[in-house]
Amino acid sequence: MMKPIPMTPSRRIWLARGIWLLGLLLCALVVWRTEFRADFSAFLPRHPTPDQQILAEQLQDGAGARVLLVGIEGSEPRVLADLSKRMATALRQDPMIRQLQNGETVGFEADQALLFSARYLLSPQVTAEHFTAAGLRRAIQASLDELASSTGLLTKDLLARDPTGEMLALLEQLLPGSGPRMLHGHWFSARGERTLLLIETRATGSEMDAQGQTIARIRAAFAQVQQAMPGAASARLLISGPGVFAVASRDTIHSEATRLSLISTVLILGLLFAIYRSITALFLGMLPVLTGALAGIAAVSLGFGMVHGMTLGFGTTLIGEAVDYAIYLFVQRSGAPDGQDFMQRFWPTIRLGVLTSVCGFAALTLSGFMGLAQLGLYSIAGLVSAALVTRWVLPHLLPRNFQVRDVTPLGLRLLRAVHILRRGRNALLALTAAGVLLLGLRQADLWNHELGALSPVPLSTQALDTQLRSDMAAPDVRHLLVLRAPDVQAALQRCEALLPALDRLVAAGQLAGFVAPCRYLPSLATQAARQQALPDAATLRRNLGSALQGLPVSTAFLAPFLADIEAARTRPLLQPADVQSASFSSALNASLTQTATHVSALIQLRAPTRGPQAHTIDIDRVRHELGPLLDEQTVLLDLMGASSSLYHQYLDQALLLSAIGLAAIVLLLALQLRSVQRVGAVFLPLVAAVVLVASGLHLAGVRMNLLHLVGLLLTVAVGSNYALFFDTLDEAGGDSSPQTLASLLFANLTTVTGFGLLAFSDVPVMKSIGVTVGPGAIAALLFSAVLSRPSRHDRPTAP
Amino acid sequence: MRLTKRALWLLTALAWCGLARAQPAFDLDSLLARMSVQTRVATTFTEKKFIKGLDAPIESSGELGFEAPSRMIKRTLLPRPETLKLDDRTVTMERGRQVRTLSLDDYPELAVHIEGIRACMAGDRAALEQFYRVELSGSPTQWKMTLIPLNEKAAEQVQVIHLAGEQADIRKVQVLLTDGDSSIMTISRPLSR
Repeated sequence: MMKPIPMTPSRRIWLARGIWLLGLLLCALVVWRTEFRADFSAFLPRHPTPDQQILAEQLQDGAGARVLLVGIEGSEPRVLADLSKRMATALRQDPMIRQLQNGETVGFEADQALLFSARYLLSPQVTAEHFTAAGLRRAIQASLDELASSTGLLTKDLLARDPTGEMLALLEQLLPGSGPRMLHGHWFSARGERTLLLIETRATGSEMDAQGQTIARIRAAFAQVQQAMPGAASARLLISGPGVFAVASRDTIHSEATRLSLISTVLILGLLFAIYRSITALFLGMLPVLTGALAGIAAVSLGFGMVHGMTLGFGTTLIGEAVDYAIYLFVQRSGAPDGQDFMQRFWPTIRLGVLTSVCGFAALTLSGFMGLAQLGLYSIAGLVSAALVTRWVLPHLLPRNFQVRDVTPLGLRLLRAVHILRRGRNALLALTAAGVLLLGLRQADLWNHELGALSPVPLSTQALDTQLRSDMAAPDVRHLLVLRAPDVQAALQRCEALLPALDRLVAAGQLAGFVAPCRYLPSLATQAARQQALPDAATLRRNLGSALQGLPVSTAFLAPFLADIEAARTRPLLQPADVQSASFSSALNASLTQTATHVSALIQLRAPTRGPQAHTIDIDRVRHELGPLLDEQTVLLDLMGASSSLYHQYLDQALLLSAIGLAAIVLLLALQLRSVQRVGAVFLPLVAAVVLVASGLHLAGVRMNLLHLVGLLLTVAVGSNYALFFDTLDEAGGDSSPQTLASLLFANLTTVTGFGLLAFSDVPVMKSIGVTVGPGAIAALLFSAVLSRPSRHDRPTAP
Repeated sequence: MRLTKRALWLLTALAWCGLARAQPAFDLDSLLARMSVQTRVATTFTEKKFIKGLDAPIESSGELGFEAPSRMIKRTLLPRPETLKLDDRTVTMERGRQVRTLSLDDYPELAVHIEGIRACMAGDRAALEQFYRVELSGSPTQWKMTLIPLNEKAAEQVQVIHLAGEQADIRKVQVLLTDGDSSIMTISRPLSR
């Protein structure tokens, strides 16, 4: 409909500005509506296997994610115990706290009353056979033997109402096997220097604000109790757990991202001002950066539905890289006011540099590790839009008389330096060869294979958690049976089907025990079956009569038993809501997770604590014993195995993707440069930089992880710009080489500032990237200079 | 005559005094001191629990041992094997495969039954008096000790414990519960070492 309008230059300028402004507006809108997260989600695979899905569910919303470990230390045990008691009293009233355990037997009597009243529904011993004359006689004889034991006088009152021993059987089954040390009636660490509390929050693991509030309430309660108690001034509160991790890492990432962005902005602005001596240039130079950052966030938000805090943390690096384009433009533009020189000679090089970086980052976007994929997309969108703004918008925004400081004198000095540096060519090549040899020889020790290396959680926080967990004497749960079913009752039935096999494993000493939700709450079907198995009054009386022959117990004495059985025959079955007030409900909740589509039940397997099988579970034996019971809905999960295999998968994939990215870069350069020799010349300094940075890290005792690898790939992507400039310098003769050299140095300084600052981060992932790319960028520039061939212009003067 | 009679009285009195002085003093310290001399004691026991409503007492038997400074082991063999070990403040109960460890301080209702015997055998007066009000009567050869629990929780269940002994050996432990039930444990002389 519209006639094509011939593009005049000014029309084109306005069109570019219009598109840019519209783009900025749209990006800002997207960013405005973006969800920012800082939880474990960045570490989860985008296309998880069923095992990984379960792992992810547990990490995010499992009951384990609701548990906070609290320690109080720094005072006399008696004072600490008292603090624990008072704090518990205060916090048990708090609606944000579901459960608090600190070793006190609070609620124990209520639990016992509940168990006792429902014992004929809960006890696995209840079958029709149990109430025949023979069954009754066997059970009552066992109860009499129980009376003969050392604790007989403590349990004797049960006999008249529970002569078949259901209550003791239940307690035995439900009581935890071991726990932390008890001191003054409270849980303590083994050496008694710390009292311990276990708190289950009402907020789920992914409700971070509520987790944060709960943690604040705990701190407030401690402060209040401490103040009210003389002699407790020196006591300290320690809190750990997934909720603390989530909140701490969110806060750390948030504050680090803010702090680092701020510092690097200030540093880079200072640097730029020192170069430009012009506020206008400073302001204009930030336009590509801001555009890039907005576009990057918007792209990630659109691509992933949310932006992870870590991705923002890397935003600082973009400042360092995107500002380079403006530097090239400004420095060149000062020499040639019409900008034609920049367009003709530098834009192709910058474009190639951007494309090279994009190749590197594009490989990352394919990663199954969401954190990396986001980083890749963010960088691509950011760099491309920053370059486009530099090319199409920025030149026309520069005032007619735009001038920055003349950097030619500096450039000339740099040129002389390059001449001197070239003498080191052979030494560098030899050093690189040595580095290759070192890396080859130490291949096995290069990589860190622990998932923790990727954690956004500060190291000190991780250490505290390990400490408190060992204090709790709570062995890490490693092996789980995960059952999935459409609803709670189906999940409980699935769980019950596994009990006989699990009991056999316990009897065989393969397991110390297991925690199963169907032990705390049998399915309604099972409860109903038990109820049906209870005899009517006449039958029971008759069976009891013959069972008691020759025993020192009379039917009259057991009248309360007869009454209880009669009542149990018609009592309502136990619903999940009925046990929510019991202290063991935390164990029940921990093992039942309700999601929108299904219920998953967990059975924790505990390794034997002694004997030949101590501390290990023979997983093949367990698998064999469970045999046909395992299927897609019933999965035996090795948490440690699953998470470490996940990490291996990431690492392998990242290695592969890096190789692909590298190959893409080579291909791109080959297509553009059309000369094997030139591609080699561009690549040699990059290889040297990567090899020597990796060797340096290794010699410094750093075990590289996935993020170091990404850092090396970034080094190649960033460094390729420098190498390409040296390459074109060679091709084009050396007229403007002083300015180019100077702008390369400035670009390098800003990049090193942006990435280098990450090295000082407290967040392990950011630090890994920083310590790799910071030195890597310097090395890439330096080596590009060292390995550059003398240009035609100055070849005659070269030594 | 009057004089002789008076002299006779005096003599008798003196004789009694001398006799009394000649006999070693008998009090809690001296009894505990003698008990603590034995660093290893191995005995057997039989126990009868009298529980109302039951037509016959519940019987059990086994071995009772002590090792200085503070370990007591009660190994029940009949009717069902079970080991109860008290080591300092820790109680370990083993029954078949099942092992349960708990702190004596957390279970005063259990501690009241066993701490008295252990404290006596260890000669630990402080431990004894921390848990019970102690009364001693009789002679070094035939003595009786009454232990009344001080802990509130323990006192709710146990009214009094009577120990009876000969020389440095405990021979009988009777526990009277507040509800009228009771138990009597008869302990053999220490087995020859």
